[in-house]
Amino acid sequence: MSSQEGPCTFTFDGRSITARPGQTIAGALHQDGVHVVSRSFKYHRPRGLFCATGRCPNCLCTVDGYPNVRTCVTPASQGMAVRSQNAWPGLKWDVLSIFDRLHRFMPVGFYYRVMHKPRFLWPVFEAIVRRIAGLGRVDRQSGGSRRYDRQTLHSDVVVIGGGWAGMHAAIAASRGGRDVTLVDDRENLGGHVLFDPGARVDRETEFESTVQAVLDDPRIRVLHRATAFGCYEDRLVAVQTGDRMIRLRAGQVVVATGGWEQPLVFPGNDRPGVMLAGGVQKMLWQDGCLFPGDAVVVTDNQNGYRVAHSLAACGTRVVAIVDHNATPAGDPGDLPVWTGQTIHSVRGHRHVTSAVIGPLEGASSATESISCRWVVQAVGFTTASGLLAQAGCRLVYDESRDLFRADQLADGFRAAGSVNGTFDIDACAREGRLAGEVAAAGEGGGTVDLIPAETSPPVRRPPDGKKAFVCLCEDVTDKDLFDAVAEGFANIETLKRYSTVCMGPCQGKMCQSSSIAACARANGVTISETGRTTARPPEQPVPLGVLAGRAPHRHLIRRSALHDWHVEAGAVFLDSGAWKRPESYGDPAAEYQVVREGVGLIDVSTLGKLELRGRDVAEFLEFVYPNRFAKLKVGRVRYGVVCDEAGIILDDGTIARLEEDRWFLTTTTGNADGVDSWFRWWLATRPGWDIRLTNVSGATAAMNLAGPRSRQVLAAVCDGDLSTEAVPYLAASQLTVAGVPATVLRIGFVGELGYEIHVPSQLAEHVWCELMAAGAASGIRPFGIEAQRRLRLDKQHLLAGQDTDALSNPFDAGLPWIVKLDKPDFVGRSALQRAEGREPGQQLVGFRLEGDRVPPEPSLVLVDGRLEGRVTSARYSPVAGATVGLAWVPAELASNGQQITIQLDGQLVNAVVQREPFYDPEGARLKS
Amino acid sequence: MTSPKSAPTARGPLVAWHRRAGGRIETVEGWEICVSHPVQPDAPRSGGNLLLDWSHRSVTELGGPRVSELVSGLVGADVAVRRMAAARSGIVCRLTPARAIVFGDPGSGVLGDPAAVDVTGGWSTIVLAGPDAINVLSLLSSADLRTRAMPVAAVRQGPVAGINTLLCHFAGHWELHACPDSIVSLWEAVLDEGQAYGLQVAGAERLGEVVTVGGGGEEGTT
Repeated sequence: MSSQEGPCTFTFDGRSITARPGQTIAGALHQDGVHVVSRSFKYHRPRGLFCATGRCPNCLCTVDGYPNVRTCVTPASQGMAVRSQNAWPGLKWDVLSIFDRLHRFMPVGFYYRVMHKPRFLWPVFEAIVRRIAGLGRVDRQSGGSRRYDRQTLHSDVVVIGGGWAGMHAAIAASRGGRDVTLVDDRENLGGHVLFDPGARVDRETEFESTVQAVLDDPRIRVLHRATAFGCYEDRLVAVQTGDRMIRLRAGQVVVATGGWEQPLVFPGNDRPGVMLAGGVQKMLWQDGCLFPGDAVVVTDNQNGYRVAHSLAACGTRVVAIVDHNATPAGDPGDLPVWTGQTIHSVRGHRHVTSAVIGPLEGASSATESISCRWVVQAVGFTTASGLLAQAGCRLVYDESRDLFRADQLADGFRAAGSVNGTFDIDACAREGRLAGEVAAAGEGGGTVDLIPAETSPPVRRPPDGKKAFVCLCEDVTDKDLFDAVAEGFANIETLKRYSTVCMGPCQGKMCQSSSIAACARANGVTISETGRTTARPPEQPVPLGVLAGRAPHRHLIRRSALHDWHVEAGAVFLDSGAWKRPESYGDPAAEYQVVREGVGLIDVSTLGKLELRGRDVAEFLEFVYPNRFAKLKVGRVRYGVVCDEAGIILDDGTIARLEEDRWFLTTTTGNADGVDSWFRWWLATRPGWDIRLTNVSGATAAMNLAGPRSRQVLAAVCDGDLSTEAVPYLAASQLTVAGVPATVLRIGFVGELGYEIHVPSQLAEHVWCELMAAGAASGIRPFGIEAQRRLRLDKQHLLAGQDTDALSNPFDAGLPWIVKLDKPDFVGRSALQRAEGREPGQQLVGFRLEGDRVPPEPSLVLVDGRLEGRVTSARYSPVAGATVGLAWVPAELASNGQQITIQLDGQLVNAVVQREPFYDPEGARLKS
Repeated sequence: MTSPKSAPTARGPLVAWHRRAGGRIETVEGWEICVSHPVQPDAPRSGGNLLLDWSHRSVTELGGPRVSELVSGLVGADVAVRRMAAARSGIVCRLTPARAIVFGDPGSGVLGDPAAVDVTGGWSTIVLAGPDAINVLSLLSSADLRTRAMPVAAVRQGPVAGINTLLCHFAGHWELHACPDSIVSLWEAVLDEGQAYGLQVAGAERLGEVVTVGGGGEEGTT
């Protein structure tokens, strides 16, 4: 209900409608005489309000650009623009209503059989079908402005359903000392009792005090207008409230979702004016609507009599209560009762004009037509047990009540009230209290005793006539279901998929019982033998926006400590996983050149960094790397690859021994956490090892100063001796750089004299700026990933993950020297031993392609027209004067000088294999 | 070697964000920090919801079998796993039996220990305070944040806004510790979800309203 104080005005298909305070859109339309609200999905038949409680598809409209809004439960507000759906050019006269007359050409499943031939016309048909199909149109402009979000809540006990049973369950669970979350899809608690004054007779005070007790209880959190649409493992309940999805994790769950009122199936049962009793009650007592004219009430229980009296009290002339029973099920007062009768059909097009009444069984010739404007059905409920079924509870057919109910509850679940098939209000309260107490004790689950109802199951008359709708959402008739069964879709699951019954917006709430009954009848078996279809989330349709959530900020962006400097410097960023890395600073070619000829500085903070301490680290490294580390001297660094048990390369990096028992390792950017976990996994296998592993990836920033002039730049801000004798190639030094303690590794990924400088990340910008200042006279400039890639390709340095894949071992990747099979056991040893003796399939090799055309990654390597390899990296190399790269090629083509064929822009081009680096193959510049 | 052009000044990962947001940046004890923001939000005690950056402090990781011994030396008693306790001038968070993080100055005795690694700059801290702090967090984390599940002085590690975060519950506020490379994303996510609750950023000068800064640990952990 809206909290607005005065009336409001909105438009419906351009027409101005005034709504009273608190009135729903549908209520206001009804009050204004708008009784045709939508057109049906397939036949475009006029449809009016039917259930009026947010279950059926009839009231779906587009509201302010959002399609498929249930207007019967959506409060009207000032200025709303409401548009009808599925009708063109308008609701009153819809071109496609011609389908209603062509129904014989559109039998069930017709779309599987027609329009496929002639084949060339399918695109035409497809365009037409796409235009016609669907319900509502998404207004993309409106959709962008909504704010969807997600929330996670936890509760000891979750009660789903704020009706009589649910409220009592919540109170009982709270009294048991538990915190309770009560989920109710309406604005006010009370369930159907709220709109049924007859059900509250002699209980008005009790009703109000119960509602108040729930609202005042500090242990009970009430989620109003919140729909539980899914139950998942470990009692995770998915709830939609507005534009928010709540993931509600429950210790115990009480399902008190009540029941759904079931319609009868008879010809014309979809005509505007045919309604369910619950909807009529709600419209009378919540929306303040009237039903002028004559009404016929069809019923088999007291509920029908109560709605008849409600209508009469509000000025409707009830011309007949048509009771299925031989004696009246309730007190008719002075209203006329037709016992042992039922409705056979209704007449009218845009609205009911009369109802045809006749005997419950037997020939339809003994019928009588009663002029009326409203046909109200009150023929019982089916259980709203979808959530129970989703949770894994077993549902069985209770013949005495003609409904499915749970007889075996999933662990932590309890059901109470009408969802159990209990419709007596006192019994519902008792069940609710018991369920709350059981939930508070944490004892949900187990078997439910099914006590047969004292009454006999209702008798329903099979419809005679064609347009007797079982499924209002998909326009599936009783005859359609019989035809489908005759075609072989006899199982209820296949029948559902073929006919699409239960697959529309109501998700079977209106049609599941009827379709199961029809299937059983068509097959000549019982309902129990027929069974029911699988219940899956969502129980109630949910906007995709709610499911997706609004998560732009959840797209994690990782920034290095130098990120802001790069932004200031005009870097062009590249997404490398979650990292933002400078691809270049505008001119990668110049950046490449400055590293080859002068000095450049690149931010490599994204590398993973691990510190290992302890006397057993060397032994551990011998175990997790295939090469040797035990004899690595303090102050030295060595390249290594990490392999898994199958000998596959997981990662590569450097391993520096800073002190006797203190080591510093780097990993690739993307594998920092993976290598950390991998090491911890192996550490856990030998708890006796004296090793302490600390991931210092975040605490340490890194930059690579590279180029022939890098030594003189570093020397300007460094306190130590940087001569080749003091800091040779592959040295690991502890120095002070720009006043900051630093670990400096003399390594050269880019093939030049270079220093990888690791400093505390909070001081990284200071060190970077000092280096840039010191190098200004040498023409220093920052370089990005693109220049780095070109530089490393000159040296044929591979990138783990880029040039290797999930099948690459060190032998195939051109790193046989790194595997020391004469070591004792290490991770992957057995597999690598086998790989060594095996003929390799493919090998990673360098290639040279004359000219400056660069094959994109991964271009194909072809042999005799067959795919035999791929290019993993390629760039134009100024020093080679050609395009160079790395590629996986067949082993027989992997030797120096072999010619390979690469597919480039649809053409085949020849390249030459080159196993040694394209630049400085002796490594003189690296070691200078 | 030439002298550095400037003395080393530490900078947290959110300083640039504060500067863009109009925050006043000052250098305090070797750190650039945001002292204040143009808009002064209400104090948490008056119903205000505050978001503060507390990245400018020492962080030390303790690892190995001697962690209990070191923690006892700092706190006066051992600290249970997934709990925290106030140390002389900081907080000790016990993550596993063999791992603890000390936020704040651990003292020279610990820093010289081979079991301790200085990881200052490896953790950045966001302080979230105010009556709606738990509601904001519930939009970002699937953890059970109820007092029963996560009482005061509890520590949990898990995703907040998809970012691996160490979440600490204090009597009057929550601290979110995360890797500095992700802290801007986390900060913006918290701020974004906090909009509905009037969450506002504040400078370090407001830290004192929420936590006890420097000496004597932090309130709400004992």
